[in-house]
Amino acid sequence: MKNIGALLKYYTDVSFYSLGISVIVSIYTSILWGGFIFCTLGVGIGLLCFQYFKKNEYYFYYNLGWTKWRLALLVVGINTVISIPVLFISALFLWLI
Amino acid sequence: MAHLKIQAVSKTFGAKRLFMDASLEIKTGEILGVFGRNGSGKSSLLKILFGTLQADRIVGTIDGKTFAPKHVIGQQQIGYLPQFSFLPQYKKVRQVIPLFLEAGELQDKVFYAPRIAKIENQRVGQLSIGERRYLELLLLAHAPHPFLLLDEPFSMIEPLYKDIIQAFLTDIKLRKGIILTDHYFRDVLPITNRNILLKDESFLPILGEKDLARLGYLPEKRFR
Repeated sequence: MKNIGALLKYYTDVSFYSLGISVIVSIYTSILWGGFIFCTLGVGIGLLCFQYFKKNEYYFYYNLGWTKWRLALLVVGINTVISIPVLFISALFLWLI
Repeated sequence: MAHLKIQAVSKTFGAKRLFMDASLEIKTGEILGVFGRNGSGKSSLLKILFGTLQADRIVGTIDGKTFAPKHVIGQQQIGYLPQFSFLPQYKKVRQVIPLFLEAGELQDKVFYAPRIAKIENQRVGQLSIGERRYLELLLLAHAPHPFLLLDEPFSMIEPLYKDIIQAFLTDIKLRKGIILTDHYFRDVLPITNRNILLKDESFLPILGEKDLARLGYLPEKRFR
C-alpha cells in the first residue's frame, strides 16, 4: 500500500466531518443511529466537505497514485469495518439493558 | 529513456475548439515549453495528459505502449504541478515531506536540499509563493513519475527562487521529461529544449522570442 501516512491523513480529514455529523445524530437519537450514519450518510457528507474545503489537496493524492474513487472506497471500507462491531456491541448493550 | 508521445489530441468546450488532432512528444532528458494566450488550452492540455480532464479524442503512447489518461494517476507515469498549492496548508514542511515520500533516503534528499532547513518548521500556508513552489517541485522530482507536467511554475515568484527553480529543473531533466507552461517566457526559454505555441487549434513549433512575436503571442513591434 502506497504512503500509508498520507492515506491516514485523508481518512482522518474525511472522518472529522462524518464523525461530527454522527455525534450530533447520536445525541438527538441513539448511538445506534449515530454509528449507522457514520458508515453510510456520514461518509458522503465527509467526502462532500473535503471536496468543498480541501479540493486542491486531491492533487496531493493524485501524485501519490490515488484516484478520488479509490480514496472514497478506502474511507467506506474502513468505516464499515469499524462500524459493524460498534453497531453490534451497541445493539447488544441496548438489548441487555 | 522513457518516451511520451501524443499522436492526436482534440478538445472542445462547447463551441470553442482548443485543439484538433494535435501532436507532441517528449523524452526523459528534455524540457518542452508550452506557450499560448489565456484560454488557448495550456492548462487543459496538461489536465488531459494527467487524466483529470477528458479529451474528445486522444491517442498516446508511453514507451510504445498505448496509455489511457484515466490510468495515468494509478500507474504514476506522470506527475502534475497545478497552478494552485496542492499541499496540506496547515501541516509543517517537516511533516509534509514524509507524508509525500515514504523512503527515508528520498526524504533526506528533500530535507538536505538547499534552503529547506530554513523553512522546515513553517506551515505550508505560511511559505512565500517561491518557497512553496520550490518545495512542491522538490517533492514531485523525487516521486517515481518519469514525466512531469508543470503549470506556471514561475508565476508570481520572487527572483531569487526563479534562479533556484531554473537550476533545479535543469538538474532534474536528466531523469525526467518535463512539459512546462508559463507566460514568463524569459524564465522558460533558457531551460527548454523545444517549445510550442498553442494557436489556431494546433501546436506550432517555435525557436525563440522572435517566433513568439511573429505568431502573435508577443507584440511584434518589440522586435523591429
